[in-house]
This record gives sequence, structure tokens and C-alpha cells, in this order.
Amino acid sequence: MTGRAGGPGPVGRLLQPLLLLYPARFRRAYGYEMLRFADARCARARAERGRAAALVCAVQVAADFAWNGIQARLYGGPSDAAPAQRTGGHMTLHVRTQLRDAARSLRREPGFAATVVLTLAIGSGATLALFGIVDAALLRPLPYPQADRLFSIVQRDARFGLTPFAPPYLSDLRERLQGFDVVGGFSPAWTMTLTGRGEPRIVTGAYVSDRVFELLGVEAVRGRLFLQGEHVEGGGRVAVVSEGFWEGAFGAATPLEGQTIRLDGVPHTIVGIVPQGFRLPIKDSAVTQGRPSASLWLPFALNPYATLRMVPVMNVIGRLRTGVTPAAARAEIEAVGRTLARDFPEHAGTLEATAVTLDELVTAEARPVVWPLFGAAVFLLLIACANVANLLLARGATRRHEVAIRASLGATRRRIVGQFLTESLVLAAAGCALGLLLAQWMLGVVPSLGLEGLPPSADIRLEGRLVLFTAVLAGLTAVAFGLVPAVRASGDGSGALLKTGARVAAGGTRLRRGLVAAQAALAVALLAGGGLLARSFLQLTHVDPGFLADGVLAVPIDLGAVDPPRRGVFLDQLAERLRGLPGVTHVSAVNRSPLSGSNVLVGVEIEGNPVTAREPVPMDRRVVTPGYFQALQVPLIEGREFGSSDRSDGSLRVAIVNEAAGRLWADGRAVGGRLRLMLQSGPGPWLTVVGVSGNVLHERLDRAARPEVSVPYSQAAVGSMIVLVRTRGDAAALTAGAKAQVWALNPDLPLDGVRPLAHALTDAVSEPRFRMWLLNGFAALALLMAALGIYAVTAYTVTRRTRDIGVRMALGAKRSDVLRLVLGDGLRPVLWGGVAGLAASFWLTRAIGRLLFGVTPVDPLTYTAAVSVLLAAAFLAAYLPARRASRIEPVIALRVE
Amino acid sequence: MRSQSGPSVEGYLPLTTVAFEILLAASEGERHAYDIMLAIERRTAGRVSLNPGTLYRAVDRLVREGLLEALERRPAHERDVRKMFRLSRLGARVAAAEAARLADQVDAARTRRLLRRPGRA
Repeated sequence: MTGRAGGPGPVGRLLQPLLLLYPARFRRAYGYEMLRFADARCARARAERGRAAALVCAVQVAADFAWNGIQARLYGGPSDAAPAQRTGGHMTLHVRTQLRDAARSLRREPGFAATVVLTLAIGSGATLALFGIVDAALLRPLPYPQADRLFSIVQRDARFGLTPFAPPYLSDLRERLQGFDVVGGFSPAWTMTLTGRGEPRIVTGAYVSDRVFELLGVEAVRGRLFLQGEHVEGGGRVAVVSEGFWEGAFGAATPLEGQTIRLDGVPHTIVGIVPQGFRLPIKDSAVTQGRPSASLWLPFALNPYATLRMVPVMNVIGRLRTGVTPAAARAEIEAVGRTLARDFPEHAGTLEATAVTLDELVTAEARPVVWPLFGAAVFLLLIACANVANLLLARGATRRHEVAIRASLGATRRRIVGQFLTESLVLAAAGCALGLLLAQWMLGVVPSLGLEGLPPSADIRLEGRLVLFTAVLAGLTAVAFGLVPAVRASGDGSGALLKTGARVAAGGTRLRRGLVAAQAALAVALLAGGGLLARSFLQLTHVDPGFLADGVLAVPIDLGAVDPPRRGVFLDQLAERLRGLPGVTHVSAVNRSPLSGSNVLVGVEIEGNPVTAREPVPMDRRVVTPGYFQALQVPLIEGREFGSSDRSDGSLRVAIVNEAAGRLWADGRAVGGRLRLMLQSGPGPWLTVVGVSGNVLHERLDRAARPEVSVPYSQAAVGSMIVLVRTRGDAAALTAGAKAQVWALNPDLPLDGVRPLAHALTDAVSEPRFRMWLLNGFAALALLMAALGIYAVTAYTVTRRTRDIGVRMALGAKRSDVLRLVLGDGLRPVLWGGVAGLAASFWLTRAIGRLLFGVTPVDPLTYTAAVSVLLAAAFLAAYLPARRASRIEPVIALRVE
Repeated sequence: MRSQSGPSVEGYLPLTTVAFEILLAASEGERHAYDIMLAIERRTAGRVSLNPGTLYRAVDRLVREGLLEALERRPAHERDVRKMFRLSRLGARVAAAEAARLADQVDAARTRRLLRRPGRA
């Protein structure tokens, strides 16, 4: 039961490097068995008490490995095999004794101990948490079998970038692609209304083709997955649900057989349940953002667009055949794309197929966000280590006297070094343990922040190797810088050190100043980065979105439960009722509200523009009811709004375009011109432009408005609308009243997304705001630590030079001279470091270039501010001890020591 | 360099808790380090649970002092050679002396009424 034969397991492999701490003889005799022991121990912890226990076990074992390795080297007996000499009858200097000594020594200086522990905790905690995110988002392979051979097969479109395929292309791709052994497709997340089980509610599902579950390695925990016959049209309305969905809707104990759910009013039979953790490898679409990810899956044959070659709603993935290289596969896909474009010119005119690994596709968005933050965390850890080093060096130097006394009383060098080492290790261990807790806490918070670009399957947790890495780094810092003074002190002839006024070697001072300079450099870089993000954020909050969100309540309504012919009347009646509420001034409705993150794109042909006839211009298509522009206070630049006269019965088909679209008319006069939309069924009827509205930022605040065309609901009914209610008062206060009016008309409508429209604006900047606070949080901590370091060094210098200063003052130096002397000494390394940091920032801030808005990475204002803040903090940190120095009474100073 | 008139057992006393526990576990027969850890855990009801570094360092020390003997064995169903440990003659004498020393202390505690009942070991 000591692990599997033939090499150490996961924990053992992790610990292997630590074996180097042991003497070679020891390593040869026991190394391999120790690793297997560690494996077995942690495997048992996992089996008995779960993952967390295994992690704790791994950390404990690692600490034990390290500790005993060092002990074995220091006291582990001779490398010759002679029996050890017995001294005083003790088998070993017991670990506990040393720990007790260390604790006693540290307790005498609680401030010092607390500073070191906290510094290490903050540095290691931040790094661990950020590394947990980096790991989940970018490094860990996707949780699918053979994930490195899974490719996403996409179309590359000049205008939209990488897009999915229209569903019918799946069979063509399967026929023509030889380099893949399995190809399947699935839809983006799709919202549906669930009725009949408690209150009606919106649920998120997705449509999957055959073989998708197989590709992603999921199996039913109860029941079965879809049969081949269910993947063809008319194959039956069936669904597979997640464990969580099942428990919520039916209760875990309910037997599966024959249970049905109503989705958009249509009954579906549940045939199987899949594990709760299963996710499709896509980011949730904008429509489903903020809702839980898909919890039920339907055969793709049931998708409303399953047979349409115009609508790209299928994400195609394939698994590379063994022996086929990614390059060969990509070449094949491109060739197949060309044949598809030839065979389906009317649909696939711009089709250019390509393949990206699933990993790339899923992590593409996270990269620019996560790496800089991780870099910042590493900087913080480095600063923390520099600070700890500094504190340890300073403390070590002040203890030379103590060391000398102990040495003269007969303590061996080994014993003294051992004690310093123990103290350092105790500090490092405490700091890392606290850091681990801090990281756990931070990672608990992260998912609720909705960090942009985290892949859907990202499961953020702390990996053992990472914990070990941080612990080793912190441990090495503590050990190395804790040992330097001990070795130096105990190596000197003790007699010399006991002499009064013995001087400290200058080398230590230089090292400390170097560390301060390094801290200053790192802090400036962080401050510059944080400053740039803060300026970006400010710019973003000052962007005019083109509409007035204050005072508007958004009431999303899924019209699935209303008969299609009655929907227009329903909306009219609802508007009438809502207008009757106190304070309400305008009521209108739109299919996609601004900054909701979702849009419907449509190709548009402009009459008299031959280019658009060949290649329609993509525009956002908005379906609105009369009074929409007035309700949102979007200015009408020309022409008129839609009115009740714009009806479906043979009256003029009309459209309103925004300024960006208006420019597409040759003479700039859009009103009176005509356009038509390329719909799923082919070109739509010609629409006459009756108005030009101002631009509204529909997608994001940091992107320019796109061309947009609005059509009246009466001439283009859609299945769900967002009713916008403008009130003179507080929009949120209207929520209950508005809901009551909807339910008075139809009690079956789910109403779970009602909220003030202003929240959309807040949401639009929540991500940049989060990034800004995070990076500036790091910067503030870095600044604090750097200031602490400067303070510690300056204060130490003052203590050491008390006599020197006393002599100067006795010889006539003024208090201001002393102040200048000490300040200069303290600030000089900060200046060097600041300059170095500034130089580094020019290069480093490019990494966050993509996160910036309205400010360049080399913004002089930000840089000046970063250096100023650092200098101010440094001045304060150095001034306190400097002032103390200037108040030294020469007579007293000369009596010191 | 040791005096060869039969090694003096007293020179090894007192043993550390860990060393004594290991000798106790090894006195039951040939054992692998992991089994020693399990035996100690069982005996102390989990109060003493040794990590590999601590255990092997202590075992190494005991082997070098001649209290334990290290043997290499290959179990029938396994490919790897495993290191087994068993109590040496000297080890048995040292363990007995340590037990006697402890018993003496326990007796002393009893006569001074620090320990009431004849408690368990």
C-alpha cells in the first residue's frame, strides 16, 4: 500500500526536488521510498477526507520534507557511516526545543514577527489567488478527454471574425473532412421558458448534434443520452438535463421514467441526466449572460434554425485523427472551406473555414486580462520577499551582540545558525499559511465577480504544485536572508564583536539599499499600471452612450406564452396599463435593450448602392414599438419616429437608421431612401427610411457605435421584447407595480430580469472597474510595503549611527544638517529604483495596452503621478526616523553603548 | 571508538518519543516504514502521526546507531525491493531500558499521587 510500483505518484513527483535538501547518502538509501510514502499518505487523506485534506496533507508533507532535509544536513550525522557520537545523551536536538526557542525569541519582538508574517501572507496570498485564476483560465487543459486534439472548426469572416457554421454544413463537413475521426456541433446557450413546474421561469439550454457528448466525454448518470433516431427531424421531443436541474425541478429521488417538462410551451420527455459539472466548451452568449450556464440539452434537430443555411448557430468541433498534425488538419479545413464556398455560393460566399484548438478559442478572451494581473501579483510577491529580506537583515544585524554573547558562552555555530534558521522557517511557514487562507478567501470571491473571459468550464482552485512553489519561494527568502546575518555574526571572532561600538560591515547596508531600490522600481511599475487603468476607467465613465438610462425600468417579456397574432395587441394593452402608473411618462418596447450585450446582426442592401447588393452591410437590427427613441431620449436627427400609422396591413414598410448607417447613402440623405434586410428566408421587402436617429452604444462603451436599422414591431414581430418604462421618479421603485400590470394581463409570463436600465450602464463598466481596483489594490499594497522597507532601513541606519550623529552634533552640526543627511541616505536608493521602475514601465505597460481606453500606455501624466506618489510615501517613511535622528541629544548619544 | 565491553545501554537514554515509538513498532517484527507509521498511529489512536521526512530521519538515526537493522526484501507480488526494518539485539535492550526508565518515572508519579489508577501505557 505504498503507492503504485514503478515511480512516485503525483505528490511524490511534486516533492522530488525537495529530496535534494538531504545528504546524498540519505537520499540514496530512502529517497524513493519516502516519495512513495508521501503518495500513500496523501492518497489515504484524500480517500478518507477528500481533496482539501489531500492538499493539506501535501503541504504538511512538503514542510516535513524540507524541515527534515535541512536538519539531516545540519545534524544528520557524518556522511561516513560511522556511528554518531553521543553528546549529552540526546539523540537529536529535538525539533520541538528549537521551535520553542524560536517562538520565544519571536515573541519578544511581536511587531517584527507580525510585519514579516503579514508581508509574506499578502504577497503569497495575492500570487496564489491570481495564479489559481491563471491556471484555471489558461494553463489547465480543458476538462475533456484528449482536449489537446479537440479543434473548433470555424468560419473566418472579414467583418465578424470567427463565426460558427449554419447547421446544415455539419453533414458536409463530416463528409469532406478526412483528418478528423469525430465531428459534432452544438448551439450557443439558448434561453427557453420553463412552465408547469412551479413559477414560470427562464432556463438556459443548448442544442447538440449527435456525437457531441461522445466528443466531450460525458456519460449519463441516470437514463441515457440521445439515440441516433432522435437526431433527425421528427425524432421526438426529448431532453437531457443536469443533475442540478433535475433535483431543482423534480427532486433527486423521483424516478426518471416518463417525466416531461414544458419548454416554450411544448412538452419534452427527459431521457437522461448528466453530471452537474458538465459544460459545453463555449462562453455563454450575451443573451444568457448573468444566468446560470446551460442545464439542459436538446437534439439539434429541434433547433428552429436546424435546416437553414443562412443562420450560423452551430459551433462545430472535431477530434483530430491519430497521426494527423494540426497543420495538416488546418490545411484540409481551408481546402474544404473553398469547396463549400464553390458548392453553396448563395450562402457560403464568404466562407473561409479554419481551425483553432479549443483551448485557444476558449481562453482567447481571458489572456489579455489575466496575464497582466498575474504579473502584478508576482511583483507584489517579489516586493514582499524583498521586504522580508530587508527586515531579517536589519534584525540580524541588531542581534550580533546577542550572537556574540551566546557564542562566547559556548553555543556552537551550528546551534546558532540552526536557531536563526528555525526562526526564519517559522516566519515563512506562518506567512504562507496565512497567505493560503487569504488566497482561498479571494478565490471564493472571484466567481461572483464574473471576470470577463474566464472560460465556462473554468473551475478555480489551488493546485498543490502552486502552493509548494509559493511556499518554497517564501521559505527560501526567509532562510537565505535569515541565515546571512547568522553566518556572518557567528563566523566572526566573538571577542571582537563584544567590544563596545563595534561597527557593522558595510556590505549589509549596501544589500539593504539594493533591496529598497528594487522595491521602489517594482512599486513604480505597479503604480503606473494601476494609474493607467484608473484613467481608462474615468474616461469610460464619461462616455456618452447616446441615450438617457436614468429613470427607465426595463421589463423583459418573453411572449412565448402569448398567441402570436395577439402579441401586438398585448404589447399595446400593456403599454396603456403601464402609462397609467403614477409618474410614468413614456412606455415603449425593443427587442434588445442598449448595453445588454446582445444584438441581432443582419445583412442590409441599400438601394442604389451596388456594392451592398453584392455584399450586404452588416447592421444591428432593432425591432421597436412607437415612442422608443423618445422614451430613451435618443435624438432624432432627421425625419420622424414610428407611429400607430405604421401597420402591417399594406401600409408603407418603414425603417429608421442611426447616424452611422445614414452615412452609407451616397449623398448623405438617408430619409426617403430604401433598404432591404437579408433574412433567413432570403431578401426581405424594400423598406423606406423615415428617420435618422443619433448613435447609441449598444454593445460596449469602448467601441464606436455600429450601423443600426430599426423596424416597427407591427411590421416585424419577434418572440421577446423588453418593455422600457420611463418615470419621473426612481425606476427601481416601479418594479412591483410594473410586474403587477404584466401579470394582470397574463399570469403565465416569467418576469425575472426586471431592473433599472441604468444597471446596464453600471454593468458595462463593472469589468474595467474590477480590474482597476484590483491592480490599484496591488499598487497600494506595494507602496505600503516599499514604504515599510524604506522606514525599516532608515530607522536601522539611524539606530546604528546614533553615536556618529552625536559626534557630528557635538562638533557643531545643525539639526537640519542631520535631517538632510538621514533623508538623503534613505531616499537615494528610492530615486535610483524609481528611475529604473519608470524605464521598466515604458516596456511593461504595453502588456495592458488592450485594456486601456482613451489613454496611451506611455501617458506622461500617469507616470509623473506614479513617481510622485512613490516619492511622497518614501519621504514620509524616511522622515520619521530622520526627525528622530535630528532630535538626538549629543550628550546622550555619546553615552550610548 | 565505542567501548566494546558490550555497548552501554544507558548512553542511549532517554529516547525521544518518536524513537521509542519506532522501536516499539519494530519490536513486533519486520516492518516497512509505512507500516511503522500505521502501527504508531494505531497504538496512539492517531495522536502521533509521522510524516515521511521525520520518520525516515529517525529511522536512519536508529539504523546508524545500531538499534534497528535495515533489510531489503522483495514481496512476492511486487516488482520493487522494499526496505524493511527490525529491532536489533541492542535495540531491544535499549527499548527495554527506556521502558524501565519510564516505568520508574511512572511509579514515582504514582507514589506522589500525580497518577491515580494503574493507567494504561
